[in-house]
Amino acid sequence: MSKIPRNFKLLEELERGEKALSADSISYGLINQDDITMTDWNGTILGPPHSVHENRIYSLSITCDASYPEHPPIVKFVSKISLPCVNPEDGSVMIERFSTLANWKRSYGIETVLLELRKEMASPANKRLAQPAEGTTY
Amino acid sequence: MSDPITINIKSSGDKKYEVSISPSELISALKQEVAKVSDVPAETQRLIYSGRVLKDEQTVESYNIQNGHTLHLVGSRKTAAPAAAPAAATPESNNIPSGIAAGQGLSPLNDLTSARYAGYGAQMPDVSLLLDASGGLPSEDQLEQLISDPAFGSSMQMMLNNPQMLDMMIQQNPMMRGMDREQVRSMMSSPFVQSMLSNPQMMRSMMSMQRGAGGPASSFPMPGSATGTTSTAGEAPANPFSAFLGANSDAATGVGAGANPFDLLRQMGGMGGNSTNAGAANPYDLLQQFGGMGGAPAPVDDTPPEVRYEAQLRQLNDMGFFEFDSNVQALRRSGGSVQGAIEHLLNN
Repeated sequence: MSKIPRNFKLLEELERGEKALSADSISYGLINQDDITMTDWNGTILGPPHSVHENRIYSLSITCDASYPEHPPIVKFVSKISLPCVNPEDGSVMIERFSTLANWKRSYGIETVLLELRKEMASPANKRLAQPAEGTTY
Repeated sequence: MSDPITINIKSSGDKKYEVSISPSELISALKQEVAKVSDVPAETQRLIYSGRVLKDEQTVESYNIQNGHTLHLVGSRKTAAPAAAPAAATPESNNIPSGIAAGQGLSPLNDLTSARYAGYGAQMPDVSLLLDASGGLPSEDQLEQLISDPAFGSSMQMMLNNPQMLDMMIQQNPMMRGMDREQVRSMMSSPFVQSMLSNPQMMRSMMSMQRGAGGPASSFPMPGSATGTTSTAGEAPANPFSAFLGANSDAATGVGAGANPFDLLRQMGGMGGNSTNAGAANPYDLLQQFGGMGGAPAPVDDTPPEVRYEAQLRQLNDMGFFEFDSNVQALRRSGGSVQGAIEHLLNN
């Protein structure tokens, strides 16, 4: 089976992001619209309801380097968050602690990462974790 | 001034709006437009586009928003948040299940009846069935049977491993409340105490000790509270078990907490009922209450069902049972057990 080339995949993701065709709770797009390599992305996760994250908007940066989508993107929280899979020092999502990145599949995308992170935030183990003040950034 | 573009706005609950605006306008102007078509005032709007929260002082074109693109609209509850936060924080600080704060005695059992513990309640042997109508005590054989039931031991272990349950017990027990929570908790979760409480042999020998201490006619004194009054830490040394419990605990107060395993048992068993009258405890009673846990009766209170069963109703809703009235009825019938309620709902 032929694989979708990186640029085609990212272009599709870009369109889904701009037109908000994915789930309501997340959003993503290129940081710089002129970036023809489509490397650096912004992402937001709307905090899941019935959790401490409710009504908060978390910003993330996502880097899809040349190895994407063979390899997972580099994901970092810009908004401060307390989550077991997030390095409290710099907000980076630790690959070994987050199964979506650790068990990366080619078919995954930025959307998958954001939705899975949101699920992580809503999990019973994490949804009551004390969180840094809203609006603070790394 | 450039030609206006049409932007789609997606809000929560699948609401969609369309606004037209010139790309040179500020985001604050865009919010005014959005306020006209939605019911969200401009000042509480948060607009998200391509993974960015839009800032009021920027222009639409600076974000490169194109004709036909879609923004997310999120309303903030800035005014409500400060008031709600402390209220929500209080029950959490105790780590007590929120249902308790709402006067719902059964709540820690919810955890046990939740999906994680599916089938758990059913495994609990119901001691009350063993008692005859006159309230007579079960025979020794019957108790033997109960305590050697592997389900009993594993249930015990499961409860002792549940930090919420432990906190709950600590909170409910006047004796333990005075003590250092961490100490009690580590005490309770120590493998020694756990093995003691879940070991049939240990239970049996404790029971025979009880029999030696007083005939069935007199009330069975609690170990460590020979006078039958409320136990205090000071009485603990009277307990023959304190000696070897002491070996396990390095602090004197810890001994007091663990020294009275039956009291703990009763705390666990009596969750639904009144568990603070420490005096009149006899071990059969404890076991009976404990066994009754699977379907412990709800305490009589007049909190409205939506408050009393808040957590359970939410669980039921999550599982796709949306009929409020029948949910409440089913929960009543099952005494607050979600599992029981589902059975009831599915059978009707």
